[in-house]
Amino acid sequence: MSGGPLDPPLPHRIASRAGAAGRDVQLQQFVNRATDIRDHARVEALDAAFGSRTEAVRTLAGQIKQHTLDHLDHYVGQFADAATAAGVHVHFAADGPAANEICLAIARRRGCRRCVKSKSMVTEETKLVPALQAAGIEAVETDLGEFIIQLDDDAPSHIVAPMIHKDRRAVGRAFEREIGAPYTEDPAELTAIARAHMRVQYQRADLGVSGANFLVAETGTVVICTNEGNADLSVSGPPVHIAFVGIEKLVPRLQDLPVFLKLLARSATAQPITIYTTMLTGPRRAADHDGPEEMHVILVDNGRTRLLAPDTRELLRCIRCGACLNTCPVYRKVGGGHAYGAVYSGPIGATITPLLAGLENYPDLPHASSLCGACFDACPVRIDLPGQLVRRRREMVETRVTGLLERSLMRAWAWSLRGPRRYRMATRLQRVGLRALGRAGWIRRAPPPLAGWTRERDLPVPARRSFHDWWKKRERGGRP
Amino acid sequence: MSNDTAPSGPGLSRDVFVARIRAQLDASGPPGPPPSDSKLVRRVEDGADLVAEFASRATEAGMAVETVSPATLRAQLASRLDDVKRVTVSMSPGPRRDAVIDVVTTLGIEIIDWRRASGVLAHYDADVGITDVAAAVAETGTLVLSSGEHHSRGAFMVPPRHLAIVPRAAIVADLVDLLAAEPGRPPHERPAATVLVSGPSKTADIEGILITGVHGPGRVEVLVVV
Ligand code: SF4
Repeated sequence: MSGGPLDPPLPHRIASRAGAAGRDVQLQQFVNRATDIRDHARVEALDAAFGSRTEAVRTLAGQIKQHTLDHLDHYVGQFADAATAAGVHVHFAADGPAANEICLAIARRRGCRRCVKSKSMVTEETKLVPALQAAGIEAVETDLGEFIIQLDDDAPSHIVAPMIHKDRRAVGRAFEREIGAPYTEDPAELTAIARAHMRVQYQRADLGVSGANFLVAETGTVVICTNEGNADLSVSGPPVHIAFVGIEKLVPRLQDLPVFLKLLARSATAQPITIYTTMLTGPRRAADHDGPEEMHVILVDNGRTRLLAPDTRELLRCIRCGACLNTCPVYRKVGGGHAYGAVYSGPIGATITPLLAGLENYPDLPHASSLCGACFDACPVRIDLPGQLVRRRREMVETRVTGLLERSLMRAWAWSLRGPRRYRMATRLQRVGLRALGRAGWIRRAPPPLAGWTRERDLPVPARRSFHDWWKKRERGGRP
Repeated sequence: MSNDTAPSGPGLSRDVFVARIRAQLDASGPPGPPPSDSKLVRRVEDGADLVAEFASRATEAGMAVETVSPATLRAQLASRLDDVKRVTVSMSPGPRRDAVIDVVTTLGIEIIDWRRASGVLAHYDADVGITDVAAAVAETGTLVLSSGEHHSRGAFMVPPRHLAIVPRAAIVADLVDLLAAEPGRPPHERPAATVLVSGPSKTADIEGILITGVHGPGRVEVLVVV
């Protein structure tokens, strides 16, 4: 099944959507402004909280996650035991369809008709909402941004701020069209409309679905971080709660949580901690008067064990804070247009999507980076994203996803860099060639395979003489 | 249910699922303790003025904080519940709960009996949810609310206003202290839900403009009893 902005026909090329995103000036201004504000706020918040310790705190967070991944078999087992002891039904799903099927089987057994769902990237991966709808179960996204996106039949464009690409007018129109509210552009009024609408949804729902930000192995606890409080309402009212969770969310102990809670909210939205940090250890107890009667956790693999290979294991440390998206010059330019064509965008998406879905299906994603290193500096768990992107590129060459022409050109270039004489000869050839293409000092349209470089801008022709030649002459005799 | 060795329906068995993971790892068997450094992560020392620290962080987080004495608690409550018709009360039995019930009854305010009504939805008719706390965290101005026999999950989430009563002794310095190991407490003896509340419900989804009260309460008031 393909369709929808995050599920394009494969192979998908980021270039196919980047152009449109790049030309939509308004969209770019939104995304650029929103990400820029978040990027600066993150740096300030971390500095205010930890000052010179910031690096050490990030290193520790990365080490705890790495330790957990190095022993993931143990921690998954420990979590399953503890959660079961707390009364949770733990399920194990190899892929997205299996996870959805487990959920549907529970819903069928319980006769669920209406689902309220809080934000979860894993359910985007498994395409849960269409699966529920196909089974005749109404499913409402309760996160405000996700709700608006659902009304518009659109897709999230940022893992933390899903409707970063939409403005208030789009929201007003969606509410007017889909839920019959009077049109308004006032954000406070729009929120009030959503609040009133959601209350009814919570009251009617008989199934609550959530994701999770962390799983605590020691206690079997599911930890969910939100600012709106929609996860609490989604999972406290209905008689059944099902949490979809990727296996990389594990941490060993409750005492390991503080470092992540302190880093996650600061890295994502520059808050000291999210407004709600919800820790769920089982369904309602015998003495409780509310809470779900049944709680399920579906542990989802969906390609993650493949990433667990030593070379790519660090990618599973990701806590989905979105900092690498906000700081990335490529995401800022094209991120609003769903250019990445996958659930995860930005630097983390550019490197994990080809691993999860195949390099041949996303052949230009590893190149959607200038390798400036900003993402590495931003990442709270210190994932070497640029290093990983370079590795993806190498794999593309090794597996010949990269075409023969490009491989030959690169090989020729590499050859020319291996000695001063070769280098001088190559630059001379380039100079002559490029000067031949120029008109009045500029190259406006280069022939393939260089055409991409001049599509959006002109290239100045190189000087007649290289700096090297000029300098030599100057040394030999006075002013050139 | 499906957490035994036999697969149930579309899922894998636990053994197969874990074996797939193990196949990618070098070492197996129980790991040593994970790296940790609570001194590095800690931001507020135990010796700090926890009431002052809590009050300023909670205020920064958008909560309205006031310090009261046991003697002025009733008067403070009464002044805050002036124009209120219905409340919900989610507190452990004791003198503070008695004080709340007393003030509310004197003012002729209706108390919703959420123990008898159906789950969290009982609170939809309340104007204010009045709660105590399981703990509070000075570092982040956080209220900690746990579910239990006397504590509802809806009381602090559903009404448009949340009024929390925090005794000084409930305040811990740092998240590190709150989540420090509690050895020997098995999973099923923990509260089913513990929620860390650090401000009014908020969203910045629409053009990054900050709006409160989107799902949970738009106003959170805290009375610190010293
Ligand atoms: S890779 Fe790092 S910076 Fe990017 S979302 Fe994940 S944790 Fe955040």
